Amino acid sequence: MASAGSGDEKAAAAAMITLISSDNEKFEVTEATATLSQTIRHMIEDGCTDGGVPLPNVTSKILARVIEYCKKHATAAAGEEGSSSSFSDAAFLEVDRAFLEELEEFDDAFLEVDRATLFDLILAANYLDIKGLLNLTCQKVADSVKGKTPEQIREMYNIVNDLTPEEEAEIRRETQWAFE
Amino acid sequence: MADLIRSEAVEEVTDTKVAIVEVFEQEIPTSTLEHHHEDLASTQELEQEDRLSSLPDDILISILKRLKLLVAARTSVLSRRWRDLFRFCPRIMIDVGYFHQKYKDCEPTHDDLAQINANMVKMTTTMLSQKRPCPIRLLMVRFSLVEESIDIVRYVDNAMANREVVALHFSMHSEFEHMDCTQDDKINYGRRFMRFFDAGPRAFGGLSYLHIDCAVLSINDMANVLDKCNKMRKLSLHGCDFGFQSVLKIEHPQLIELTLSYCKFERVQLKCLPSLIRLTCNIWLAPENHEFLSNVMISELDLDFSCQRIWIEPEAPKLAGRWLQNLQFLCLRRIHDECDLDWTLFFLEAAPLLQKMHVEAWDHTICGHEEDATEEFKELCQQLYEKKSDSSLTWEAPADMKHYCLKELIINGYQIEEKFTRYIKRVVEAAVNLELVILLDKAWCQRCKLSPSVRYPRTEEERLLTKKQILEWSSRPIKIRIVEGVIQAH
Repeated sequence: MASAGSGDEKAAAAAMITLISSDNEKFEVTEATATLSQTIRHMIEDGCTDGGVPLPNVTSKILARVIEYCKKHATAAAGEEGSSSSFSDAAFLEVDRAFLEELEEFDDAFLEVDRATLFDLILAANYLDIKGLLNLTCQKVADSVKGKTPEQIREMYNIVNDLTPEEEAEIRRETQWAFE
Repeated sequence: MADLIRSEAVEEVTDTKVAIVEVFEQEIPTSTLEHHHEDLASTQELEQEDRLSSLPDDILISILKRLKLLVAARTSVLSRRWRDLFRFCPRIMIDVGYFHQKYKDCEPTHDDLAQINANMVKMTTTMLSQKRPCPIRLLMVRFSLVEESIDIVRYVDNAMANREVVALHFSMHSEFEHMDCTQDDKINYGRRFMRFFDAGPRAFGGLSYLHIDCAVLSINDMANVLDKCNKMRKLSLHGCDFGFQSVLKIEHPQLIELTLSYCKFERVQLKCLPSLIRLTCNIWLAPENHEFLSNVMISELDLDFSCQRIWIEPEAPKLAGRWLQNLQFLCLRRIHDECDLDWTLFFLEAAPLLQKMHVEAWDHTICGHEEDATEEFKELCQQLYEKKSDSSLTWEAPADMKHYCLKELIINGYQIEEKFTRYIKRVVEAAVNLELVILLDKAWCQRCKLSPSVRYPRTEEERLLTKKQILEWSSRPIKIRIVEGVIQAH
């Protein structure tokens, strides 16, 4: 702990974490924001965040988006802890309801990205172990597949069909129940 | 169940960690590559890249598990990479409902039903006949009580025997609505159920949830099922018939949740249920109500009165004392509007640890829904309540009653009316540590769109007045919420 500075400053400084993207850009975030990532939470717990946390798998472009997500959801988490734990409080407070709606709107807007970014976000969420973001992005991909034929899915995601016609016919026989 | 959920969560975390290590090791070159390309925008090559298939297995499985099995299974023909992935979801739900969706607007014919049942068997075969890299954490199978389904039971039984399933939920349904089933149908369903039960000893011996629809079962059959399904945590019986003047005895060391709806029996005896936490009764068919719960300690009680008459014996609190000793959450649904609420104070006297009381006043008759009920059902209700039809509900709580644990009182269907005012006053005066009172409007009726009552305090002025009044009765500050909108019973 630094010897200079008032207690308040120290607390504020201690609560900031520096994240370093693969292209060496530095991002200062609060601990509350950073710890939405389980990976970073564990690093903080192990005390190895001095001098910044290098994230060699995440580009600055993606990291900026991930931080945007974490900031928003960290406020949400803080709000939840702040209010009474009673279920009825959470269910009834109109404020809570409005906030949840706002959060949903944020998530929807957040997912308005091109496919490449979506996949980068999935990989980043997986690497950083941010459950909410991983769920959100995986759900987006899942939704995109609904109501599509295999041919349409292949086209959408550039999937090359490496099955022989015989193999494909066999699989279709096995899973015939899914195609009726 | 709680343990199960916890251990699953731990497993999931471990999975993700493993995946991180993989990504960490494999993906560095890719992301460096991407970085180089970034300035050039996405090149033709990158656009053609199959980013989806190159995601790690666990992420693809996490995507697939969000899809209905029918949709997920269609990905098996995408490419070799996708061939088996859908089988490896940690939770698999084999649901006859998938196939019924096609027939939302028209009744399925006899042939359609046969096709659906055949498909159910095929789906089960596909999902369970191959070796898996890891066990299914939760297998839910929902199927019809028809002859063909015995193969489903056999496949599941086999999978259970090979330890390929951690948790199993079995849900067995009639092919028609419970009201449309004839007694002969129910007898057939009951016989088939028992045949399935005999054909799948390891499935039934290991399942944690069992739902049975519309089956005629003997008391001995039921005792046998309870005995053999010794890992069962939740049991739900819907429209089952245990015979005239039958006494259904329920004894089970593991059972946490018991749901009885529209079942026929003379009486239920909850003989020994040390783990029971939640009991839900949709249609109360036990006239001898104090015996119904004589041997259990219950922490959460959920009773649905379906607008029928309620009758409390004057000595009830004393008799009920033991089984309500531990009661913490109480939900009383659909108490008829014309019925007085004061009797519910009986719970305050009988349950010293009660923390939350949720009372719902409801008038089903106003929109004429009761006319929709079948004759059989009406008769059933009539039969149950005729004995008491002349006695209105009277139960007098002692005037000086005090309760020290109650923290929340929720009233659904609140009206500015003497009945409610008097009731709230009594609760507030008795419950000296009350913290929160929530007054909700009547629920909107989904079917007739009947608007909520006009007697609910809607203006700011009315609300302030109501709040002020309640606060006057209390010796300490209470939070009072008057919220329009519906809250589902806890």
